Amino acid sequence: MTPSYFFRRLFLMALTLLCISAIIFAITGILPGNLAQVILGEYATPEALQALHQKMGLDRPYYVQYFSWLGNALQGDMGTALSMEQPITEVILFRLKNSAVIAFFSLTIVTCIAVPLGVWAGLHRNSLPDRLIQLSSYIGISIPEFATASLLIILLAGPVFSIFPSTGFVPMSENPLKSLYHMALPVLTLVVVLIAHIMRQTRSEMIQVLQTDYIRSARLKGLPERQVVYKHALRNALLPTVTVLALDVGYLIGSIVVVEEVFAYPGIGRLVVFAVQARDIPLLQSSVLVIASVYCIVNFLADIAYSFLNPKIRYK
Amino acid sequence: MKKIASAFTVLKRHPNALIGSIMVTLLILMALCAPLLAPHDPLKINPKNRFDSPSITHIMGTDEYGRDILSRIIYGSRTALTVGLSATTLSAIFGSLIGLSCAYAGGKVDEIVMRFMDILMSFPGILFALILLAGLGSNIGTVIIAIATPAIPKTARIARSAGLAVRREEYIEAAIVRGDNPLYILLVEMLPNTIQPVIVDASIKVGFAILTAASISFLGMGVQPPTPDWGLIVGQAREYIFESPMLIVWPIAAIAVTTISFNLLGDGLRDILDPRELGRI
Amino acid sequence: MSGIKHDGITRRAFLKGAAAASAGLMVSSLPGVLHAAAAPKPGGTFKITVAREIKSLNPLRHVNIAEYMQGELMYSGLTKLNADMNAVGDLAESWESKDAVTWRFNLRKGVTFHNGKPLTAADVVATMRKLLDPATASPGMKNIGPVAAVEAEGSHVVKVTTSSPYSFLPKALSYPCFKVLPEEVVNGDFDAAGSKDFGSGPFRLKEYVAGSHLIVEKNPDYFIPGRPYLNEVHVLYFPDPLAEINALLTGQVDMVNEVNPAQIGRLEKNKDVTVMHAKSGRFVNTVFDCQAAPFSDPRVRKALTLSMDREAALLMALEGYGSIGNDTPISPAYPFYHEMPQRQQDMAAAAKLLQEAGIKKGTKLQLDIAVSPAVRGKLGIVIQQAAKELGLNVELKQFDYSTYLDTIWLKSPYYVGFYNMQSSEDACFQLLYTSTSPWNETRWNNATFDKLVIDARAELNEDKQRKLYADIQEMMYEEVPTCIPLFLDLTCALTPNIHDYRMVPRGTYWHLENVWKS
Repeated sequence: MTPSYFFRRLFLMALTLLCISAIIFAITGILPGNLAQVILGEYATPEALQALHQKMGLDRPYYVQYFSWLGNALQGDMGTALSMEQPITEVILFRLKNSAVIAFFSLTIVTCIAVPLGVWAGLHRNSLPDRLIQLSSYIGISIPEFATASLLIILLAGPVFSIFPSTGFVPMSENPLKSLYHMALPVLTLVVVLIAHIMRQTRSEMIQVLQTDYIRSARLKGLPERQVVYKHALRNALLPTVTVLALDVGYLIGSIVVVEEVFAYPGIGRLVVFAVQARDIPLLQSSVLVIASVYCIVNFLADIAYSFLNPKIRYK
Repeated sequence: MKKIASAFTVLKRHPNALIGSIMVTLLILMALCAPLLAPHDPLKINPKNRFDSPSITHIMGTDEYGRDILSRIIYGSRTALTVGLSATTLSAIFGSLIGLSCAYAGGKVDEIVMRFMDILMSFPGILFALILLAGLGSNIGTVIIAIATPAIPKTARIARSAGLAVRREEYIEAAIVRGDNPLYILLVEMLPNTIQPVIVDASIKVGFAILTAASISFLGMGVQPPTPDWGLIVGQAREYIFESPMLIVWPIAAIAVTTISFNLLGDGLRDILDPRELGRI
Repeated sequence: MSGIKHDGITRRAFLKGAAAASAGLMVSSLPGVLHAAAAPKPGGTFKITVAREIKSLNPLRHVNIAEYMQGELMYSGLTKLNADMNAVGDLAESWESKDAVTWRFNLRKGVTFHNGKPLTAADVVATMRKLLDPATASPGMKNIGPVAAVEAEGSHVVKVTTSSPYSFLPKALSYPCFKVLPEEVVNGDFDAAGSKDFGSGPFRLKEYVAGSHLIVEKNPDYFIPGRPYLNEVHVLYFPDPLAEINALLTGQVDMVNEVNPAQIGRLEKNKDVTVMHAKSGRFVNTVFDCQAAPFSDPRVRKALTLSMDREAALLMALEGYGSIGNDTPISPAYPFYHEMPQRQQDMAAAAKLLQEAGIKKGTKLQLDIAVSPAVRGKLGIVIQQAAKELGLNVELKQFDYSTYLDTIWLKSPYYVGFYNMQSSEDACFQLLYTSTSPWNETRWNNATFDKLVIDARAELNEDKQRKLYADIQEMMYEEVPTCIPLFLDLTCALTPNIHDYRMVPRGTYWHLENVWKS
């Protein structure tokens, strides 16, 4: 990887985020619901509404509002959430941390299970276990997250077996064991949702690599099968998996919104849904921007990692 | 007749596509004939029959309003299929128009538009849909738009790369030299020759669109009660999950069967139309 | 656990203040009176969950249940309501008035704020003036009665003058926004009260994390000796009803302040939890704009009202945890409730009325509904199906709560409303149904009704007043400016080791200083 590639990628990422911030601002600006009314609630008098409107700077031109919002956000100050009288930066950091914890656990577990299974299935194509893996992953990608979550609640949180709590959140700092216990179902749901996806990807990568001339010639050279598989095929199949995992962070973000909502887990996904429902525009703009940034940064890192690992791209 | 026969021969070699197409046909029939198939009015409430267990009159039992669950599941296929099919069609149309226009125009326009598409792609679809719905209000039309819009960039990419190949063909160059209307070239000369990959992509996306629509309904931001909609049924029955878990299991099963059917059909279609991809999955 | 005994209240009790606030409440915890249990044990931490968020600690800014709870814990008002919905003294030791226009409230002696400053009449006067000042834009501004003037007479007497005879003043003054702050805060850094404690209540602020929790600790200098019993109260914000119930079942919290009807059945089966209900005046209704067609025709309103299957609505919208209403906002939980024949579903009569009004079959009506609380949407489904039998096509349109507040509430011609019980009949009518009321959502604007309401609030003879309120209720029953099919029960759930908690039907008082934990 050359420095120019790195900086070009970095520049593109910044550009993307700039565009996204503008898009977010534009779309959320058209949301119905009067901000001042949202804050003052049922008891607002017209004078109080007008005063608050001015205090919040809502009477300024649109582009001025956008640049002042963006400028402040870049300095880490996202303003105050209307619905909770708290600095948005603080709220988002707390929620982001919570989401990161379940995302980290689920991604780790998924990688440890799905990648070996996918590789194995790719090697033993069309065997009975492969077909079973195939079938289950097929069902897995055909069930929405909220359904997986609800089924897990029915199965493990009451109606059938009562093992895990269906809701409730305990901060890590308060009681790590309890925290994990309450996290179990959301993490398990994300694992089930992602496993099918990643397993399918790894398997098809493996199959493709095994069909390449490179492997064929290795076999023709008479190398032992073990060596062919583990030294040559696996390395090449795992490379794209890095990208798949990065892409799956995007997939994961989509899932997290729903899963956090079902389990009432105070993460950033739930914050977005809350902000939409409460018409808390500043909170909505900032939290969506943060999610988009996380997504862009992960993609950027995956690209860089990929170009490091893959010599073909390095000199492009 | 011969065509149908040959279609069958192809389908026979691809069991996935065969099963998928049969299931999808059945689902579409179910949606079309819902009034004939449903044993009860899906909206009719009945205070005396709340939470009934399955019986001869109510095969899947009744819900919190005493409504017949089976009838609601049958009618639910209408919203699911309408949203899934229209959202996919919409994104296919706009995606291919944008993609082909870029391929045709080339140069700066192509670069700027496709860069913009990349940017849209780097934004989780469901978030986009939620914000859009908050702005547009929730009804079946806005749900379709909210699901179709985030799907456009990928279709545009596919259409563009297919379009670029066609663009270099002699007959297109000839048409341009002839001074044909660009719109005519785009729609009549280029579109038919690039539509295949777009169709394959769209058929795979239907299942995904149905899933997204269900999630949106579940969050309460899609179609509104009392419309029988699978995602919405799950969302509304959530507060009864401990007493009546089956209220939730039925619609989930319906969603899963529908998505699997469309995925089978989509994968099968890809295998048939696009044999290069056979190695994948 | 309903405790709606109002027959025993005499006129004197209204006009001459029940000084015995504390005494009256203390009775309930005396051994052998209500509980044969052991004497109250001081100490312990009490954790209670609320479904709404505390946005500001300043009582004058309070709008929701969680905030009212915080206000009551940290602050004191002039009066409070007890479980029988009678006004009892809080900071006021006693009060009296001869004409229901000039009132004198005698304050307790020796009350100090948490900062050590002694409470005087000047503090009460300053707070009340601040509350009434339109510039403050306090949500309680129009809810404490027709107060014309307030002044201090000496250090411990507050003189309140009303613009017309107003027998409900002590009740009206119990409005949860009216809690007394020190004069220098009111006239000084008033905004500081949003995050700091300037109260004189049974508990002091210990920790407040917006959007999460509030922790208050015992005020050792509280003006009622020996109270509070609890060392700490934690008010925890739980936005998710299932999570709330779970926390109670797993012992994380001691009490869930409001239980969602769908969860009550499950809790009642659980032996480790006590479920308490109170019949209340909280109601859900359909609002008609009486000036917009077709609702301007009383026959249409009456027809829609007659189509309602109230039993079914009670079951489906509230799982049976409530009572059936008779299209007036006055439930049996109010002292001047007037019994009338229960309006039943009568499709034939409804169809006939519609026909007379010239409403054709297939007419489309849009019913606007806020998604929260869920009871609104559930009632909507029942209304829609009933109207369908009449041949009307009622379309349900759902809005999230903030859009509802902005575009539907008080504006739409046909929507589902939801209101808390008020401190008195008068407070309820003046809030919603007279033509000058701030939330005049029905635009009924009936001069006869307005006059009756004014007459009734000024009437000092109880029998005559009862008669006037009966007339008022009959009038609403006949003209149906709104259809009120259901009153909600208040339901809370707590662990059995919590004692002497009594529910107040109004739902905005908890009297946690009397509660103890074993």
